Amino acid sequence: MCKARWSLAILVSLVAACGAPSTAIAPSRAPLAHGAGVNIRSITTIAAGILSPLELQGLVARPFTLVRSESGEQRVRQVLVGVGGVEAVRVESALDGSLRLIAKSGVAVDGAGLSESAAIARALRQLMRLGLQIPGGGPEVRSTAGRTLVIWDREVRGVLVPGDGIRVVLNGDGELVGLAIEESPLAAAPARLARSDAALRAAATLTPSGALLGGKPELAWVLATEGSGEPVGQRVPRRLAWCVSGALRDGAVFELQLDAGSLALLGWDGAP
Amino acid sequence: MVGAVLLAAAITLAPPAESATVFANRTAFAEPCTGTTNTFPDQLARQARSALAALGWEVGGAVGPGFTRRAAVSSAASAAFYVHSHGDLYWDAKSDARVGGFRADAGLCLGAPIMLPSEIAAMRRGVPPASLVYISSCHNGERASRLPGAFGIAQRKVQGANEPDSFYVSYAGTAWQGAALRFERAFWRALLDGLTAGAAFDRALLVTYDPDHLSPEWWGGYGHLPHAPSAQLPDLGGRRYV
Repeated sequence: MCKARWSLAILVSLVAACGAPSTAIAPSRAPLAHGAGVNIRSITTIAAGILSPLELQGLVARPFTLVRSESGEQRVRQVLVGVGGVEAVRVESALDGSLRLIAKSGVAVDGAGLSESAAIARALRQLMRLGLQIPGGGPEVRSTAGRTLVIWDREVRGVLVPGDGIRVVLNGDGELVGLAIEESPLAAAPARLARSDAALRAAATLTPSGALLGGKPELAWVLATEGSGEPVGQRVPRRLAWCVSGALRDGAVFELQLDAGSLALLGWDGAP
Repeated sequence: MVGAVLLAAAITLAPPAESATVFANRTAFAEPCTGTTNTFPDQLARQARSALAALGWEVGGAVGPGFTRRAAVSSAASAAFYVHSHGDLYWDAKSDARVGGFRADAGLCLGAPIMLPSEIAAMRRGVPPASLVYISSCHNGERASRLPGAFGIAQRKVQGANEPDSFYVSYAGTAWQGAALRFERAFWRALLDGLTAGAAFDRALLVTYDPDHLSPEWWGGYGHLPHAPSAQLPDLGGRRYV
């Protein structure tokens, strides 16, 4: 399976590289690697949709590369560079052609600021312009460091997959800074789900004296890697977990993630 | 003998223009203190050390009990500074205000010594503004924190003309370690890809950290490239575009 994926990846990169413009871009609607049985959109097409004609001037496409994302997914990366070789736009697609990342560099930090409804409208407009599926449900809107994040979380069978979904980042004027789409693989859910009160009791045996467990345990699809030092950057399926939160003696908050079936400890997170 | 001592003193006191420091509090998050195995501080420090070294800095510092208040004070004049620890708007009796800061490790679960901005400012007197400061803690990304000023960095976002050659990153409110690990990993990767500090910050906003768990903030020059001044740009296998 792995060999087959790499063969496909090499084929994609070869076809894509042959199709990559090496000089100033001429936007085209043509998919890049259609002949290889995959349909990876050209960065020139995408750039034409998100940059003004003035911004497009002088941009040059770099050769395609195969990369592994933060979440361990194999992707085809396309980059447009400007004057002095400075990266202007990056696009990443999954090997099946699904768009995963668009990131612009140097987007203005000034801006009037966006209301929540304006931010959602702008984010939706960007998704439509790029021909992406409009997610269902209301997004979360967050402002941080002069940018606005509009996030549609992914839920599977009514359970949140933290970090998965669609994330659109805008500047204070509503200009696109970038968007990311994540869809992690999920392990099979346990045949028998432990009760939430059992999860709370199991968590109590794991916490040090003086710590307080608070709130009701919640189910989530978690990556059982980060707190225990297992390798990251690999395509590890998320597991269904009971998440139990609490506070240590000094008030620092924490969360324990317990396998939703066996109640074995999967991970730990905390706030310094 | 006297000459050797003077030379050693001169070396010790000279502003370490090429030096970077990475500290991480391990003890307060370790099993005896929290009840569970926690390798976040080591992972966070490791990725910071690797990135700073790749950017040409000579990296010192400590992870665990070696991260004492004294060690932090003596490294406060570094040109690049990273710390992961407890942070808060701690009270500074001298200025009669809540001013920010972070705790050392010192081998303590609770009550480890606090580094205040005024102590860092005192150590940095006569030293140029830091190139890159990353305070991976709660609250030091808030306006009330005086840590940016202590490192010579104004709390402004500057892009284009008159950008300072400095960049400060920290978190507002409570910062969870899992989210910080993902955000920081993306930030360092983007710097190593040749992006400017501001663009690297933008890139990190796109990774899958939970925004309820992390609220990153920056001040300084968007276009700043925080590599060591005299260092050759690292060989990044053609991935660097600047």
